[in-house]
Amino acid sequence: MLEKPLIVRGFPLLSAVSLVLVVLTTEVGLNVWVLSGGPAVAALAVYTVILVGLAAAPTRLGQWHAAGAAFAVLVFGGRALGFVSVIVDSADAGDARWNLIGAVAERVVLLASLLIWHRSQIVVAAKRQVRRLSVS
Amino acid sequence: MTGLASTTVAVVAVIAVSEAIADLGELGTIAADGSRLALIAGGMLIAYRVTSKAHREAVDLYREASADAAAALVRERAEAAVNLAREREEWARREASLLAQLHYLDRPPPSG
Repeated sequence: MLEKPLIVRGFPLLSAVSLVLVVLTTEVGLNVWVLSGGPAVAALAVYTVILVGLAAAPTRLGQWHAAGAAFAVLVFGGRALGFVSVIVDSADAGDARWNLIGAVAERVVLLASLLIWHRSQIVVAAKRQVRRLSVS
Repeated sequence: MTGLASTTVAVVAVIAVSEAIADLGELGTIAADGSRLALIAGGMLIAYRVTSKAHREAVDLYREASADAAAALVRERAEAAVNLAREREEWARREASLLAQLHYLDRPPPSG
């Protein structure tokens, strides 16, 4: 019985909290490969708002999952590729930082999890939206 | 699986090209930034379209299922109404028959 609220509301809330913590605690400045500094923080903020909205009203805001999937690619794909860029740049400089490969893999897993979650939850939301329309 | 493999190859190729041309002066930097932007924007677009398509397909599927369920309910109720009408007709026929028999028994005795 606890699985459903954890998947529908717990997962996006946890992700939103982790994004806020990333913004608040980073020491090297945010970078999502194509954006850095203020614009990168703005992208994370938009994605955080989408996740909080989806946790608050998963059925009514169900279509936000499409935008959420796009921002997941920007934020987590950007962060993964940002680390790849650091590895390549450090290799060019003669001191390759291979220890960052784990960070890349970690962000790829996070991105895959979020994309699968958005894709599956938008179907669940569609089912609830149709049911709500047919009842009313 | 083929899609995942081709996506991975495309991402690695774009990264390799953008990193290679990034050091080739100002134009190289612009081209590298452009290819990075194109890669991320393409990824965002694909994610958006795949998720939207899943939503559209799910809405169509559940709407169809909902319409089918509603039609089945209407059909079931109509069949029940027809059966009830038939039963009532049968009872009315029996009642009429019994009344006719009673009327026959109650008739006055034949004169003469």
